[in-house]
Amino acid sequence: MGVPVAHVPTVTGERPGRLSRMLRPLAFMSLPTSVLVLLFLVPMGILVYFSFQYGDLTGQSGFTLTNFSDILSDPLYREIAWTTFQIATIAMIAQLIVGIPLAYVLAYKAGRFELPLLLALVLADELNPMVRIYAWRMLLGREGLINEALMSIGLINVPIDALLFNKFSVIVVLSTSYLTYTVIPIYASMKAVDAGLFEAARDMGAGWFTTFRRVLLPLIAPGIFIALLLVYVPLFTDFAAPTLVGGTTGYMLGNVVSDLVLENGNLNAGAAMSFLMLLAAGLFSLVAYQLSRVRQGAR
Amino acid sequence: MKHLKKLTILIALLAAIPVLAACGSDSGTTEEATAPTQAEADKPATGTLRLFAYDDTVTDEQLNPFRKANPDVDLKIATFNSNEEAAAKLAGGFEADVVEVCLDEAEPLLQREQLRPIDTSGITDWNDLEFRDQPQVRQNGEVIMIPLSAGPYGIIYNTEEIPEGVESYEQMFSDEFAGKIAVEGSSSVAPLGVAALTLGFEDPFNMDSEQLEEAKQFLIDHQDDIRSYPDSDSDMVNLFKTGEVVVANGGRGTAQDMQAEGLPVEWVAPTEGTWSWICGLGITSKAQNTDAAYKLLNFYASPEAQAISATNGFVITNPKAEPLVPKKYKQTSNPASIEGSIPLTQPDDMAAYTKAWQEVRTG
Amino acid sequence: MPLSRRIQRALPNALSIGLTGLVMVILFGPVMLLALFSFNDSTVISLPWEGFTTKWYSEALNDDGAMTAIGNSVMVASIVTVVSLILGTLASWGLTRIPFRGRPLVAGVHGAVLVVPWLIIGVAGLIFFSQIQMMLSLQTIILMHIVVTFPLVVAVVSAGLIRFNPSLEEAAIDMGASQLQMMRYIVLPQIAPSLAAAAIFAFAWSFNNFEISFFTGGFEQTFPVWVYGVLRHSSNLPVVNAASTVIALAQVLLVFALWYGMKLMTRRRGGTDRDAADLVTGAVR
Repeated sequence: MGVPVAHVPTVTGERPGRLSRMLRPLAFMSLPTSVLVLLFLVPMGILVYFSFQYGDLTGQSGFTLTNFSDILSDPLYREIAWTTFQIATIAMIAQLIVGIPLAYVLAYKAGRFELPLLLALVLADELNPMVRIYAWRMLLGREGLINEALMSIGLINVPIDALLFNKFSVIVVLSTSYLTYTVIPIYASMKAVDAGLFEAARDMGAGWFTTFRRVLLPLIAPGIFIALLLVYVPLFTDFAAPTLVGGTTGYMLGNVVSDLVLENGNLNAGAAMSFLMLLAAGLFSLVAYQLSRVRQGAR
Repeated sequence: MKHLKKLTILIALLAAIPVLAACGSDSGTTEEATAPTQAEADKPATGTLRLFAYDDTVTDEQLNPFRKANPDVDLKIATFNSNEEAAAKLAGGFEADVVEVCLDEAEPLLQREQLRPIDTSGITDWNDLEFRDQPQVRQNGEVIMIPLSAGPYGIIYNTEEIPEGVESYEQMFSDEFAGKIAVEGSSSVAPLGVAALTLGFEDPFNMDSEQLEEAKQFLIDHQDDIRSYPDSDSDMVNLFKTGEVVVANGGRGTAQDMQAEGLPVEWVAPTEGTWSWICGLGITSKAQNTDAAYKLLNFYASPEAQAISATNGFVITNPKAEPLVPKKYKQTSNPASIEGSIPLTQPDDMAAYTKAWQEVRTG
Repeated sequence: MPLSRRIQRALPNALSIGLTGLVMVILFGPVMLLALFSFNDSTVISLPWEGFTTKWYSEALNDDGAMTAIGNSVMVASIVTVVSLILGTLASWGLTRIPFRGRPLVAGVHGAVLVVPWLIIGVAGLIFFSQIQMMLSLQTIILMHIVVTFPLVVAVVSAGLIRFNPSLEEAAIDMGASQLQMMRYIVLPQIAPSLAAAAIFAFAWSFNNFEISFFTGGFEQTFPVWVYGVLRHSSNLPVVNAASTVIALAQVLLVFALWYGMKLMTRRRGGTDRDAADLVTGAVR
């Protein structure tokens, strides 16, 4: 997530002395930064070091690039990456299609229901994820509630098998389990927009789509950016949903990492895979950040 | 987000320094632990004993007699959900005194020298134990685990949907049950092994690359017939209960679980053959309390503890426990019930199996 | 007003209600189903309904493993929440109010934590602790939870700080307030909603975390780790379901109590419901 860094002037009225200019950042940043260095950068550094090694902790080891070349040259991984990209992207788009209007309703239309609805959204995120996936199976299954309901009203005679155990159900489960983190940043950025702007746009004769594209979208771009980082990136590494509702399809990159690390005990390959995914996430963040800035700048 | 670029440079710099990995930690010992003398063995255990095992191996029901006999020992338990997780965790440096080892998972532990030889003279019932002569029980001639339980792996089918029964894997994969088949998929070995047996290969766990290719293709060809690859027992039970599948490959223990819950299922040994998992306990190279570890191993091998294990539906390894086993479990706990089964072991080329399985899952 | 205009006007409202209702059904339908099925007299969460029972709840209550694991998780999540709030607030202030060299880099590292998969962080943490020969325990879980959770607090709180005009802070100092007084009377009330939101998210992240807890945990289990262990046997599913339902309910009560408290506070200070809404959004504006 982009931790916002704004151009903020120093707080104190007087120009701080040289010493305090050095000490004040230290006072605030030394503790959090040391925690990050010690418990995040060092462990990740070890892991990245592993990704350039063969052998493991106790056995023979040495420098190698094969972990990376194996992954990059393997058409299988490209195919899995492509599947993952499709599933994650469709799930993200589905969430934006539902999430942006929902955020809009919450921000401008919900009135006194605004707060309870928001809280409900947060709470939806709190249930044990495993148990929640089983609930979806109960809904979408061959003898699940949806099929039973459709059959009892006579719409269908044979249960629809295609509701569960395919990419569709993976997308449904993924979209619903991340929706909270999509809606809330977008909602938050909408709250900062003066609703009067829309009136003005309408007075000038803009239709709803023009208003949305020219007025609202540029203003909520930062919120969408945060939503993308919080949701789109983790979608690539999820493995519980594909395992439990993916059936014979929907094998994703998250499954690859967990199979490499857990089944093969191949930490080096697992580390290399994660390192590549981290790079991709970084690259993506960079692009998304630039885009959200361009959008804002276009205003 | 320019800073991310800098971040990667920093990480790369950090990585260039072979920081802590070079320091290495003492990797423990592979020296044999001397078994306690008879006098010591009779005294209750003391100190802390760390046990890392499957959840069903360490139930209170199973362990309470040990706790009662050794009130002073501080027994610490960590559980895992699959042997793979356990191996990864141990590989990462997790420490325990006693660890559950299944024959199909011993290899990675041995490669990393995480098990130490066991002095079998310290195990009272050693010479009675079934499977003690399985090749994987020994490493370089030394015993590295005490086999304690086993279970066969075959076909589970719904008796209401398929009253005439299923006899073979070939029949399971026939068009008759298309869309209502589950293939257990928590690891690559089970699904590829089932395909291998169906295709008539001798050794499902050491297929050559051609056979592996064929087994892979077999699963891909049947992709549309298979409803799901369940990842755990509860996943499998759920599939049967919800009517998603009517036939699957699976363990006899799983079928017994389902029967206990009132599901109309039956387990059969398919005509193509069965395999059987065999699990037991080993002492880790980093074990600190070997005295207590030997006491725990002795307890698990004792007739009393074995009889409790039998009520899980497992095959037990100490024949002396037979009179203590409740009647209901006499047949399933008898090692004769898995005679002729192929012992489930880890393929030599595990990476090839994983790769093939990934290709199946990608379609 | 002609009918067509009336429909045109009412349509957006109907659409809003429809959309919100649909999303709530999709999000909470499954949750409600689970709560309902925790009273079903069957070991599998599925139809058919086999009779009402509360036995899963009494089994969960009498299950030592479950109770210990829940206790551990509550403790871990509480400590993680408090420490993350402190670290996160310090860092947010530093990143938004104090210019220093390398600030974008430091901010970037905070952000990077949030995009690395937890499985990877868990494995990395395990290797790290084993290299420095630190025994795995609840403490190591807490340490790793803190490092993945406090950057989230930073994101939420610094967003709140950026929205809030620093000139008030300058004015307070100009009028002779000490740094401490300025923090206490100007800054804290402003970021209180963000802190509350951050607290809710931090607690949830820590409480539900499986991957990191599994790999960096020792012989004490947290609730998710216990769940994954016992789920190996399907007969445990309803007990897990009952325990999860109780926990979800407790979280609902906790969050709404927090919300009500905030509402009272902002009302007393003459604030509005709108300020209280920041509680949830964490003022990520």
